[in-house]
Amino acid sequence: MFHKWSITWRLSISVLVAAGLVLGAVIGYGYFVARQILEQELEEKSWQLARATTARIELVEVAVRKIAGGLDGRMEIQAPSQKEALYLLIERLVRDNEEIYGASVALEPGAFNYSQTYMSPHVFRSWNQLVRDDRAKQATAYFVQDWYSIPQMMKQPVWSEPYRAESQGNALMVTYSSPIIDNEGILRGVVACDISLEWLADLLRYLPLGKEGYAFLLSRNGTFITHPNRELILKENIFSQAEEQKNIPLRALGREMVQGQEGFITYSTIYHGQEGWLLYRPIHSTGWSIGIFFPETELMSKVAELSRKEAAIGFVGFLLLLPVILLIARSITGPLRKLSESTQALAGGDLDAPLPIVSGQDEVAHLANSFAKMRDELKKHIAMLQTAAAAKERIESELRIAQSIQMELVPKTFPPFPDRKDFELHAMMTPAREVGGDFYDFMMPDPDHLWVVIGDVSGKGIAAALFMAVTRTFIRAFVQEERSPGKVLDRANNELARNNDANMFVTLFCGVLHLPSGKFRWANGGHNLPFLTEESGEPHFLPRTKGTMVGAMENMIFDEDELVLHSGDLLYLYTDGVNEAMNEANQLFGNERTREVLSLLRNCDCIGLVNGMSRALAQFTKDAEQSDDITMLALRYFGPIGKG
Amino acid sequence: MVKNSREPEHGAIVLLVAMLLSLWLAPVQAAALQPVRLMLQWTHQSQFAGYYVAVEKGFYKERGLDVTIIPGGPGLDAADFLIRGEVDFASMWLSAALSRTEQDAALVNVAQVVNRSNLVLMTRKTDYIASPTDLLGKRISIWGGDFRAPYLAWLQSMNVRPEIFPQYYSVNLFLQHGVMACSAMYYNEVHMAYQTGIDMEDLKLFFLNDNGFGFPEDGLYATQDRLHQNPQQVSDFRAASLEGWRYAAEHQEEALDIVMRYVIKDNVPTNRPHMKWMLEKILDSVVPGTQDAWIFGSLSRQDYARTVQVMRQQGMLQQAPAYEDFIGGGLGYVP
Repeated sequence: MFHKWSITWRLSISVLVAAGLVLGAVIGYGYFVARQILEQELEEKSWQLARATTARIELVEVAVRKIAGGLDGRMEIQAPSQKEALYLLIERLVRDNEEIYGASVALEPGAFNYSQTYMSPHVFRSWNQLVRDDRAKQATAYFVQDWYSIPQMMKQPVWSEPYRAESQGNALMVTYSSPIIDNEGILRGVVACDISLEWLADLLRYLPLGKEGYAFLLSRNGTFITHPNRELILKENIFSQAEEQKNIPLRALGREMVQGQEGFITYSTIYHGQEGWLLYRPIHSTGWSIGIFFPETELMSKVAELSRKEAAIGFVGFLLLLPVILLIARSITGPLRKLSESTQALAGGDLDAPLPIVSGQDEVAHLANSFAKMRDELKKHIAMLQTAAAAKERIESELRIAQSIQMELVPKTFPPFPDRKDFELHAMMTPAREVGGDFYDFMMPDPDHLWVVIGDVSGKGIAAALFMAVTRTFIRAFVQEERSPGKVLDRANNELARNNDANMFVTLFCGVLHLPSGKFRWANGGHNLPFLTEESGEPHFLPRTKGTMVGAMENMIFDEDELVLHSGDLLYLYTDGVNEAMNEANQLFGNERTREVLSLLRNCDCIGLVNGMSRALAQFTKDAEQSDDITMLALRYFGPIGKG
Repeated sequence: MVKNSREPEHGAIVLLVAMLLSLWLAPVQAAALQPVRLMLQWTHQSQFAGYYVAVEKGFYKERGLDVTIIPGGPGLDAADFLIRGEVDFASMWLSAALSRTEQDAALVNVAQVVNRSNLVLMTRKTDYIASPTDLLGKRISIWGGDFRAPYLAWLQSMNVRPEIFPQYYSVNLFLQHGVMACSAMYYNEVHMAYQTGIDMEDLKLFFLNDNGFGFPEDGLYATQDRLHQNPQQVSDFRAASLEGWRYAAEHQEEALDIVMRYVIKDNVPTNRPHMKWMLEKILDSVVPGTQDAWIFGSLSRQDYARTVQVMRQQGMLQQAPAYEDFIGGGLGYVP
């Protein structure tokens, strides 16, 4: 599918996908790293917050402890004084210390020899006033309360479990109580400072923990002292929540916290089920534990926001990148497309179709230049071809001229002597594409003599044709004047050789048949020996006579020979176009095959023989080009009877 | 009415009609229902589940009683209210009822609800307390009042003499390692300790009942006068209360829901898992299992005698009424 798209789209999409992957990887890595950094920072920040908060709480504790201690001291000094003196002392302490909501000095029954069995002067704030109240008059005896009994029994200061003070508007309170022990080590009473925890709730509420983050305090019993879910405060504790939710890890966390351990853990809040981190740390002086929860989503929301923005920028970048890529792709494919169109025009034959001009040095420019070069080369080549074709045409026309010269010169009317019954004659010449300069001729200068000539000029083309024409003219002339074939050849030789600057020559066989007697005389100027097929025998060559090629040198000797033909004897004259015909395997037709064909065709008349030999040749050579003229002449003698 | 009430837009009208109806019916019902006040010996919690259930399921109303439940608490002694006649019935311990009978006024046991003792001495395994004898010379805290006698008797029986501190309303002294052992109710303080992060397997509990020092606990009491004035009411109150307990035992989740409504309404600082634990444990000591000898809702002669004997031993009681008198001649036990 993809490879079917255009380069422009493939390039664009590939680049965008690659860029998208890189962008995604960068954003993902950024998110991951930012998350790690944030988590580390968060942990640090949490510790700082927890430490700071703890310090705040401990500060109050220290102050209260000091105040209580101070009260102890003065108690001892002022032990025997009046109840009123105690009230004044407590009032001053409450007035001077904002953290203290109320304070009391509860005396052991009988302490300091007071007449009262029980006495617990108590001063607390109410509507910006200090109110006095003796706790000994409350429905529940003070000495059964934890705030009294535990320090009483443990002989050490104790922070109470937090509680709601109904008398004080249901305010969340905690009491720090410290035993008063005299010099003899006898417990005289307990100093108790009630401290409102509302400020603590506020302190934790306004910790910079984001929208969903929160802090909570656990008492030493695991009770929620502060928690954003006010329903949980005092009623529920971390273990009751664990039990309710069957949340075993939560119980384990609670145990860690109440045992005064610290940690930073991933945590799923019981409050709104959010995932996040929880830091917990003990507040040693009070035995409490602070927990600070940071939700993951809120912490990561900034990173997520950043990632979203990055993605958005990336997307916009994509939108901007797309046209740029398209532009670049077009700048590459545009010239290519034009080149493609131009080359199609070129292929269509329009070599003058304009090629696009591509500036620059890049690959496309090189390609365009190569195309231009190729076009120019093509043009040159075609011009060359045209010149060559013209030259060839000229040669062809020369050849045609030569052929027509050749063909014009040989007699072509058959039968040539239709009124003669004492012989028959047929001849045929098939010129090769390049004229070979063959010719045949026959003439009867008188009614008793029939001259036959066959020749083959050396060389080819017009020169050969013209030489042949000259040769023929000479032969025709000399036949009129001479009675001997040898003499004819001799004279023709001298005439041709005399001004033969081109050193051309011709092989010639020349014979004359005395028709009344059947006597055949001949001379041969270097030509193939004709076959004689006697009426009762096989074809064979005529006897050899001495003679050289005609026209090469003057004053050569051409011997003659003669024999008597009988009725039915056949003479077959031919040029080397027959016996040296070649097939495609470069095999020669050969004398022997010529003889066999002649033997086969011995009963045919002259036309049949010539045509038969021609067919045999065609069959042999098949598709091989004819390289030389094929010329043959057949003559059959019927005897003197033919005269009548 | 029921049909209409399904349609919210008719809600107001339905309510109005209902109110008019109730106004119209009020005099009739007022005549039919006797107002009865029951006071508990402590704040609302599962310890009293059966009474809430009896109110909420209408078991009292079925018997013509319009019961109001009044919680007790620190400084609010139900026996005081009962004797002063401010309430008609009170829930209190058998030992408390015997003491008050001797000191103030004759009380009658209408029903013995909790027949098996839940008293426990709670220690930590980490303090290496394997048996009560290990407590010799150790600091322990024991409740005062009615709770004290069984512990002292139990310790005496084993000849163990720890240093005993008074224990009041919380077990914080124990939790802060001020004492090595403390008295506890199995249904309450034991689980409170668990809810401060001490695992059950880290606690070593001694059940007084295991050594024969467990005594019947919560019972319903009225004055002998009330019994003689209105024996039918007493009998009805007993029957309806026990029906409440029976129902609570058979429908524990529903009972727990009801308890939690009372707890939340009164802003009692507790939580559902704790109330669930308490309900389960209290029901075990109210409704007899196949192994248990007691009769549901009834004080046996033997348990009564045993309790009187131990109280005398501890000097908490000189005289006790006859068993038959204490249970109102069985009048309260009329089904």
